[in-house]
Amino acid sequence: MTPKPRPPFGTTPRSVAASLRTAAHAALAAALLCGAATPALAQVGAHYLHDTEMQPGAIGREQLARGGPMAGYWQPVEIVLPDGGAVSFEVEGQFSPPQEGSAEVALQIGYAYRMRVTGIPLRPGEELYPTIELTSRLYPPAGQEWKFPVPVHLTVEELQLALQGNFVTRVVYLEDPNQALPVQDRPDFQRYFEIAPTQEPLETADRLGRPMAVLRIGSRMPQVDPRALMPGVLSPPIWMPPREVTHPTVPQTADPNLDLRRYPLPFAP
Amino acid sequence: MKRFLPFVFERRMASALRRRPTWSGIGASCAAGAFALAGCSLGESSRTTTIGSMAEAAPPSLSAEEFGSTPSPAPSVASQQTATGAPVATDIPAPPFPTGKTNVAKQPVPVAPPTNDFSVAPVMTEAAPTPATQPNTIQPVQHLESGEAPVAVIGEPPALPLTHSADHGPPIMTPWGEVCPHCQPVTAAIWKRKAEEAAAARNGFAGGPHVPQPPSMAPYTAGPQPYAGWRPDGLPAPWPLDEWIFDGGDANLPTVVDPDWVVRGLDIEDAVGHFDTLDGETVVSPSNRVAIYAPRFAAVRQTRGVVASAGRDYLAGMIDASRIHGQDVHAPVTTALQPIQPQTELGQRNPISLLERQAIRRLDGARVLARFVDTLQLYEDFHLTRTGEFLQGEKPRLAKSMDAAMTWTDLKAVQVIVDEDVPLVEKNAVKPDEARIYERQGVPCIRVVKMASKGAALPGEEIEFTLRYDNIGEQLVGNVTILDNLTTRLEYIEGTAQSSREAEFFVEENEARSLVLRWEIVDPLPVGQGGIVRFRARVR
Repeated sequence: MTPKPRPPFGTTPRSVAASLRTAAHAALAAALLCGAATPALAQVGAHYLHDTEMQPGAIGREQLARGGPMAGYWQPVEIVLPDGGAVSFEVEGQFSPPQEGSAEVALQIGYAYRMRVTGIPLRPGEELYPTIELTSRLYPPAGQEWKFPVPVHLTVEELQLALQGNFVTRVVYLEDPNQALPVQDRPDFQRYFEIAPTQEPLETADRLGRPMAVLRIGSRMPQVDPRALMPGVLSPPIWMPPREVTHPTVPQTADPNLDLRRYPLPFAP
Repeated sequence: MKRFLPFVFERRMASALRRRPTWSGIGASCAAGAFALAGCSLGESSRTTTIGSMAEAAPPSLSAEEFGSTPSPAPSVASQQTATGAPVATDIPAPPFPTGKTNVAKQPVPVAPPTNDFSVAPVMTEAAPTPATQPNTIQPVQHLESGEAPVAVIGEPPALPLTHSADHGPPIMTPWGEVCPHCQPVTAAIWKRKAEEAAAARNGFAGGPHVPQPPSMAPYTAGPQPYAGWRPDGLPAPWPLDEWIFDGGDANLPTVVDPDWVVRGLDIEDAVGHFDTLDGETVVSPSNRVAIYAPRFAAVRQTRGVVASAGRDYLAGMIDASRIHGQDVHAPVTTALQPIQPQTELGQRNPISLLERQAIRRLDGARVLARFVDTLQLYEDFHLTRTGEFLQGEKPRLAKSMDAAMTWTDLKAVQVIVDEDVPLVEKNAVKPDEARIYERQGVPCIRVVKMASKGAALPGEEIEFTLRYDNIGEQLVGNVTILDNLTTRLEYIEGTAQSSREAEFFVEENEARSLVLRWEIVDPLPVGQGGIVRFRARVR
């Protein structure tokens, strides 16, 4: 039997994309009719155990208590600073020599790592002491750990906001591939969502993906009351690879071509 | 490290011994080395006989003009296995070995006639296993005269001289071969180095820049799988899924093609091929799924004002209750115990679950595809890509990028396919003049295999994808169409689509703001032939 001739692609009554859209609309209609919701929307009103107002390091400690391969793992973290900035880490009770540019370090979950940021653009002589807390880790293929660090960006805007007396919380999350935005990612600029002070950034990040790190910027004093932090915050273990790496730097201003208003939050704040 | 060695040693030895029967073919199920050699010869003769019978029963190739006007090929194709074929035993003297084990004799390497014309009829080539098809062959240690240093013959890696320290007993399996147990203490450094090289070769970054790793990071990353294969119970690999992007397969509802050519059920990330049979039926064949490690990050920012001081009004006149002495002691912890990772391996998953299926057809020789811009790339330079035939030696590398290739093969046995039934493989058959005939009613089938040039990529990097399709059925098929629905994180690079056969290429935007790629192969696909389509995509 002779096979029937094949019509040109795209001239069919309903092409592939049209059928896909139809299927998506049908699924959405069925979900609405059945009263079901997407998994992200289903998290609304859930009781979250953690929030960013907890003691720095407390979220990671509770993550360790849940078990799994987290205790003792060195998670590479890339700290990206603006041009001219320098960062020091607290090692053995004192800050290490400032490292200009950006830095790659390996941190552990369960601690709050305190840094000293100097060389802030347009604010000479001023210092900030932000903290980084890991809440999860990556599971890259063997040998690829340092190729895929968790990027933590300290932008000029956030540093200046902190110097003006504000408290900036930045939760870095691993993007859910199923909710990924169709934009090209850039290594020198990290996309972020701005939320209101009344919202919980950890909860928002959890609905967008998997929270990986919490960056808290606000402290302008090197001294800190130890009772305000989790144990081990003064000199937690840290791994600093002895190698020279080239890092991207954060531009002085945000990318003007990237209009994030086109991509609002996929759910109501 | 020394405490760690015996544990690994026993595990590797046990796993290697478990795997060993498969390396020696049919006869390897026998423990004795002499019987293993005979079994190999028997399997080889059976396979050779099968190929001959397949060549006689193979349907003639049809041209495009003949498609449709030619009646169906033979309704059944019989393949035979005779156990009385003359054993082909290569007479290679085995090295002196006190345990009586014998070296596995390597078969002669067939040389395929080189050609660049993909349209010519394939040349019948006896597919004797090449040395590359037996990478797991373990050769014993050659023990020399007393007092001399024995030499470990470990296959492909260069032999390393070992210091002789005592009389030698049976060899011990190591990750890279066999060594004398008495030589083990003095070869601990070599052991460690070779194990690291073997791990580096498995992980695919041998030769790359050496990056220092924290001490506690190594045990978790020693295996080919992330975290040495560990994952929570009930979750499939790769895990966790939010760090990977996928392309290929047929997820969710199966893809179907309506009589009016409407494709339904083609989800994001799906890659399928569909074709028409002589009966007018449209059949969909999904490809395997390719996983690429490409995590991407974003952030949520919140800015709040800080209250510099907070005053609290306490109730006046409240009676201060007596408290238990010692309850109000605040003793902040000044030290922290660093958790240490367990110095053990959690097991490694070997690619033994790879199901394979091989068509009853002629075996093509290696040839370079004619209509490609470049020759085969490194990641796709498999025997499977060139000829559509699975080889044992390619399984570990293919298993890294192929998740569910539904093929079945056994080069040492008669090659059969029974629809959705477990094929019966006759091993160690000693009955003379026994023939097993499997009849199939001319089932049409194509196989689509997808490969990626990288297993991990950062945003902005380019990945090259290759889809190999083969007509492994018993009918001429027509209107072969390859569909690939790209995920959001993959952006097709314009003008990079290629095809080894004449095809028309179309793209259309999908709902994930990416593209659906479509190749329509112009000519019908005869039995036993296939082609390759290739494209490049950028990771967003």
